[in-house]
Order: sequence, then structure tokens, then C-alpha cells
Amino acid sequence: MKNHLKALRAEHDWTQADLADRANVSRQTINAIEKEKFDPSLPVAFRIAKVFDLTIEEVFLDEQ
Amino acid sequence: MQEHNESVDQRAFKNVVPIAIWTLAWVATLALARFGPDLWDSQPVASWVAIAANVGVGIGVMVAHAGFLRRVDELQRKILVDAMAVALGVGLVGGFAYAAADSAGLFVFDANIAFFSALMAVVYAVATIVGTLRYR
Repeated sequence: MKNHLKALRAEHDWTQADLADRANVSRQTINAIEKEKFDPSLPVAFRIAKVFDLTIEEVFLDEQ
Repeated sequence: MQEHNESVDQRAFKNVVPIAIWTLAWVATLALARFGPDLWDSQPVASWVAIAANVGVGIGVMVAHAGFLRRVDELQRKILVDAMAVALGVGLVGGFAYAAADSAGLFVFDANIAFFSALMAVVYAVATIVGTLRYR
């Protein structure tokens, strides 16, 4: 799933590990989501959006 | 609620410890059930107790593994479950293929059940490594 994670991280000057700690997932998960190799579950998507104080739609792009 | 003062990766490592302890206990009870009859002169009651202990600890291994899967990060869970599917498939396909070949008299040696356990363990480990590299 396409997303703005990398750009959002850059805005906050966070590493993947920083975001992983804040979203309570592994760094590997953040990396896989950024590279669009893995689609997160709804709870994880909500947590990531909440970390950036955004909605899910503002972080993840619906391609359908 | 999960604590945030340690990373998910650190927690995953900690979560492995109970599985390692249960697995070691299972191996010990398996050895007792397998070699114990030599020690207690093949008394059936003692052998049944050893087998019951092995099955009981084996159930503990399964419960510990299920708990581990519930606690790990969702990508790690996907990698592990995918690896289990491959290991189970190889075990089933390999096991039935061996049984068919054995029935057809194609083998001159008898395979031990431990061989398939070892095969599935190796396949599980390799599939886990491949999955980890795939999502790295």
C-alpha cells in the first residue's frame, strides 16, 4: 500500500527505529511498510497515523 | 497493554525464552520416555508416566508457542506463520511421498520419525530466515 511514511519521518527527523518505538512495532515492520512490501493491520495503521497526529487517509493511500 | 519502555525487538527476544525452556524440558522428557525403560527395567507404569510427562510438556510447548505468536509484532508473526505453513507442507508432502515410496519397495532403509522432525525444523528455520530477508 502506498504511503507517506518516509516523507513524514523526514519532516519529524525520525529514524525508522524512532517511529517503530512510537508506534509500538518493530523497525522491520516500518521498513516493510515504507517499501510497500507489507500492509499493516488496521490497529497498526491507526497507531502510526496517531503518532503523526493525522488520519489514516492522510498517511496511507487507497489505490482501489 | 504493552510497555513502551523497551522496543518490540527487545520484547520479541525476551518472548523466545519461555519457548526455549519448554522445548528443552520437552527434549528431556522425550529422552526419558525413550531411554527410561532401560533404567527401570521396562516397567509399564513408569514408562506410561514418562510418556504422559512428555505429552504434557509437549502441550506446554504448544501453549508457549501460541502465546509467543500472540505477543510478537505482526510482521514477525506473518513471517513465522508463513514459515510454519512451508514446514507443515514439506512434512506432509515428504511424509506421504516417503510412505508411498516405502510401500512400493523403493527404499532399502527404514526412515526414523526423528528424520521428519529434523527435516521440518530445518525447513522452518530456513523459511524463517528467507521471510526475514524478504521483508528486511
